[in-house]
Order: sequence, then C-alpha cells, then structure tokens
Amino acid sequence: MTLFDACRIMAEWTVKVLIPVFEFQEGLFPPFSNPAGWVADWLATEGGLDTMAWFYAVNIAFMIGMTNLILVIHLERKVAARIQDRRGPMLSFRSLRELGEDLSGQAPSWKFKKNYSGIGILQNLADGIKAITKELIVPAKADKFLFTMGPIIFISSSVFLLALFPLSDRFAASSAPAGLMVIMAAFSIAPIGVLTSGWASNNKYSMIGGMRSAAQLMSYEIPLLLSMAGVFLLAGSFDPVVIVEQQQASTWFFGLPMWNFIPQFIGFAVFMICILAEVERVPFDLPEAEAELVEGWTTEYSGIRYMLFLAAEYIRGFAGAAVATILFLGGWAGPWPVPPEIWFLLKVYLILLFWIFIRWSVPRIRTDQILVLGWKKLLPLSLINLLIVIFMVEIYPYFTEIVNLPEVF
Amino acid sequence: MSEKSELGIMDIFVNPMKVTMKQFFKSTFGKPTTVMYPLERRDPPPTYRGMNAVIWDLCIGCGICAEVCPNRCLKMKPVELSDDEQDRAWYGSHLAKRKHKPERPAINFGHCMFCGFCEDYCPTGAMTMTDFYELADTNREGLIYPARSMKVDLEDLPQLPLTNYMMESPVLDVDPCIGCSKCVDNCPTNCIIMDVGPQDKTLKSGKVRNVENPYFDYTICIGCSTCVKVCPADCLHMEPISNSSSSGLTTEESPTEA
Repeated sequence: MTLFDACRIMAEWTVKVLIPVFEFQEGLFPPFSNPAGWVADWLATEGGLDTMAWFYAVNIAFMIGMTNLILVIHLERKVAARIQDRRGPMLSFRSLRELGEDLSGQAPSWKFKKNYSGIGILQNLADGIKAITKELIVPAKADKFLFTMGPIIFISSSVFLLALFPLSDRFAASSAPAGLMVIMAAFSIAPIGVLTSGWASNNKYSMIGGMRSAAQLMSYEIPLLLSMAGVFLLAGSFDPVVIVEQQQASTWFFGLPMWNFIPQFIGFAVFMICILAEVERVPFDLPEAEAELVEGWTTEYSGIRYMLFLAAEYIRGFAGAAVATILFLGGWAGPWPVPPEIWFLLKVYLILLFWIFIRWSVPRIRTDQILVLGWKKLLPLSLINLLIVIFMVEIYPYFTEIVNLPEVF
Repeated sequence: MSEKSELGIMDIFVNPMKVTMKQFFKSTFGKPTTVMYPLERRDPPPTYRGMNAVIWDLCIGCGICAEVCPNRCLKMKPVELSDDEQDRAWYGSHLAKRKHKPERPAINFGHCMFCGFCEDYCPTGAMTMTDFYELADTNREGLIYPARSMKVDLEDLPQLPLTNYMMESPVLDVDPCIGCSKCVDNCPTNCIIMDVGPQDKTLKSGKVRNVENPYFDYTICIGCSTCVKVCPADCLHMEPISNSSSSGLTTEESPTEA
C-alpha cells in the first residue's frame, strides 16, 4: 500500500463527514443558491476524492519535510560546533530544573541525569519563534512588489521539492514518471528568486549576490544535467522508482550491490560537486558570501522572510542530497530488517554530514574559478562519463554475447 | 583550481578534511573546550583582576588609590565607623583623633578599567582585587558601588609592613611653617611629630616662643601627600626619594652605599 492509497482511504472517510456538513449549510438559506452545495457535489465525484487524497499526501510530505528540516539544522549546528571545539545549542531538563529552583527558591521534585546535555534541539524552535515575531522591514527605496515576490519564488520552489522525491517506492507524495526532471526544473527556478530579491533590495551587496547566483548557474547547470544523463541511460527512465529498482537489481562480485556510483564514479564526483553548487552551500556559496558581501542577497530581509530563506536553503540541501541518493547511492535499497525509508534517510544524512565537513574545511571558490571549474573541468569529465555509460549500455552487451556463444566451439 | 594556482587537490580538499575530521572526533568523543557558563564555571587564573574588595580593618584611608586611579573612577568617601570597626582597625586608635570622618574608597565600575593600580599602590594591602567578574547590571547607577559595599572582613589579616610605593616623601620648607600641627592630625600612618624648630617668633605680648616644626619618620611614611594637601601655609612639598636608606624600602640583604 502506497502513501497515496492510504490518503485516498482517509479522503473517503473525510468526504463522508464533509458532504452532510456542506448539504446542511446549503439548506440553511434555501432562497439563495449556495456554493456549499457545489462543493458537496464535487467532493462526491472521483476528481474530488483524488484532490482530497492529494491534499493529505502533500500535507504529510510537507510535515515530514519540515520536521526533518529542524533535524538537519540541528545536525549542522551541532557538528559545526564540535568541529570548532564548541558544544552548540545545549539545554536540558536539568538546567530548567535549576532555573525553577532559582526562581521559586525550592527544588522541583523531578530528577534527571547528571549532565546538561539533552534537548538543545529546542533552540531551533526558539529561533523560529523569534524570527516570526520580528518586524518585516522593507527598505525605503526598494521595489516593493519584487521585494515581496522574490521570497515567494524562492521559497515556494524550494518547498515544492519536498513533494517530489519519494522516500521509498511505497512512501511518496508524488512519483511522477518524469520525477527527476521535475525536481531539476524546480531546482532551477530558485536563482530567479535570488536575482529578483537581490535586485529589488536596492542594496549593492544584495545586487552583487543576485548577479553572482546567475553567473554561478551558467557554470554548474550543464555538467550537472550531463552527469545525470548517464544514470537515465542506464535505467531507461526518469522515474526515481525505476532508477532505484535498476540499482537494486544489478549486482557485482559475490552478489554485492552495484549502485551507480561504482561504474559511474566520474559522474558521481561531478554530480556531487555540481549539486553542492546548485544548493549554494560552501564552498559554492558565492551569492551569500558573508565575508565579502554582508549577507549576500538576503541582506535586506528580516523576520519570517529571512527565516524562510534559511529554511528553504536547508530544504534545497536536503533535496539535493536525496537526489544524489536516488541517482547514485541506491536510494532506499538496503538489507532487510531496516525499513527502506530509514535506509534512504540514513544515506541522505550521511551525504549531509559530508557536506557539513566540507563546509568547515575548504575555502570559498572565486567567481572566475567556478567558471573555469565548470566549463574546463567538469563539462569534459561529465562527457567522458556519458561515453563510458554508452559503452556499458550499448556496446558491452554486444561483446559479451559474442564471447559467450558456446555453440561455436 | 584556477590555471595559475599551484595548489593540488591534496592541499585544498584532503588535508583540510583530515584536520576537520580529527578535531570533530577529538571533541565529540572527548570533551569540548567550552563550559556551559551559568551552570558550570571555570576558575579564573590566580592573578585575575576582577571586582575590588577593601579589607576595612587594614585600610587607613590614605587616598593613594584615588590618586593613582587613571580613570578617576575611585573616590574616597567619608564613612561612619561603628565602635567595633573602630576597635578592630589597624591604626584604629589614631583614627579617633582625626578631625574629620575617616574615608574609604568607593568605585564606579562603569569607568573602571581593572588596571589594578589601586591594588599595586596600596601601602597596607587593604585594597584587593577578587576573581568576581559578574558585574553586569541593568542601569548605570547599579555600577556605582558605595564604600560600604566594598568592605570585606578577613579572619587572618596579612600584617604587611607599610611600604612607600609612591616613591615620594614630604619635605619641609622651614621659613613659612607656622607650626599648626595640622599635618600631624591628618597623617594616616602617624609618622609626623612636632618638635623644636630653628625659628623663633615674637608674640604680641612680647614673649619669644619657639615655632615647632614637623619631623617625618620616613620609614613608615607612605607618600600619600595628605600633609601637603592640608598644609595651610604651603610649606610642604613632595620630593622623589633620592636616598633609599630613608625610604623604608631597604632590607638587610640589599647593599646600600654610604
């Protein structure tokens, strides 16, 4: 049973409750025609049921994605802190107990473990509440319409990503036949939002940040898609489920799984570099280079807009890692006792951990360097990878057929 | 990565990653350097200069700390001493003879830069700097600490010898001296006595009377220049100590030239 089927059943239950409610509303004012009746009629149809089911599926994906987001941010903060010999966000019930003791003068009766580690993840919730309650400042000479539209473009295209990649073949809000193409298309919308925000802020740093985002797009987008082309050739489909099934089926020596990163190692390396540039993480965070431009294209934004920008960047990071997992690391394939969704998240988190280590290890790349890297290094490499895959798919089976003809001798 | 760059993939990626991984495992499976401040505290170093504290039993109210303070954040404020405090004070018997109230230092920590001069120059060791550093307050007035709030009481008092850290001592110009003995009354260490001087004066009644002059015991003079400040005839001034044998700084080990 897939996620959509479960949502469909939930939708049928809901409709049974909703239709009488709407009909009752329609009956309240008989002389006038009431839209509630139209809604009741529409919900009874197949299309209405499907819409309700999609509503549930997308909401579940959104909730899982947003909860996951807090975990990703917490992971980033804690690992960054440990790399820098710090502790990161720390709080525990024990410290809350001591605070209560200070305030009330007597110790509460609860008892907890001796150290202060524990629920530092609450810091992320506190930051979120803080950002929501802050003022939304629009600069005096900013283009007000574009200043509002920029976040909408960037954030909606990023949140859209959450609905697109499946966690397993049964747990997916949407597994469209052209799923990965849609994901890459949604990825590519974001630089428009960045450019819009940077332009509308009427700030030189924001402006430079937006322009850098556009310049960066030119260098990484082509090698990224070319390195993905190898995987599509091998699987013969854009569907993430088909791609992962192909990787599950193929084996190596002793029945070891041969996921795509083994035969296409060049493509894997190119893809990892390019997806890092796509999600604008260090060392490719040229648009918001906080050492050079103040905060890049988000300089003028405040409050919930700024928080959602940050959140959208992490969503994009998570989605990028998920795409890398689906394409090259075998997706949700893994030994039996662990459920496939957990395998998928485990691989995604490993990639994220690797990115965090990269973030605190390597320096930021320059604008001219990223163009040289993209056009002179990564583009030839991705073409070589494509050639190797073409050889594997088209020519190698032909040779093996010739060799394995036993009847000749 | 660029054409002119001589750095390889080892320099820009592998070696930094090694360092990062090493630090990560060190601080994850070991312990990070930071402490959780309000809950755990790290001991300050022994020479840490924090908030001041004044041992009132040792303080003689000489005002050297106020004089050497570079920021002028330390002022001498007159205080009422209780009988018990009066009894326990070093030189306490002398304090009762003073014509005005005894003075104790009060500090505005909003201006203090914790240079520690007041501690260094204090002749009796009454001024100390503790390792207390949590001085934050919600308003500026809260940073002004009155004299009594700086008071500490110690069980064992360090009875240090009086030392002239100012390297100055008062010198008398005999001619204008009128023999009023104000300097004797105000000297915090009781190092002045009045005795027969070289001058005589004729009173209106025709009698001739000797003008008494102050004599200084430089071994216990601390160079606070209180006598200079109170002198009505302006006959005293401070001079740098030229002869170390009269300063009280000499010890038996240090060679002194005759």
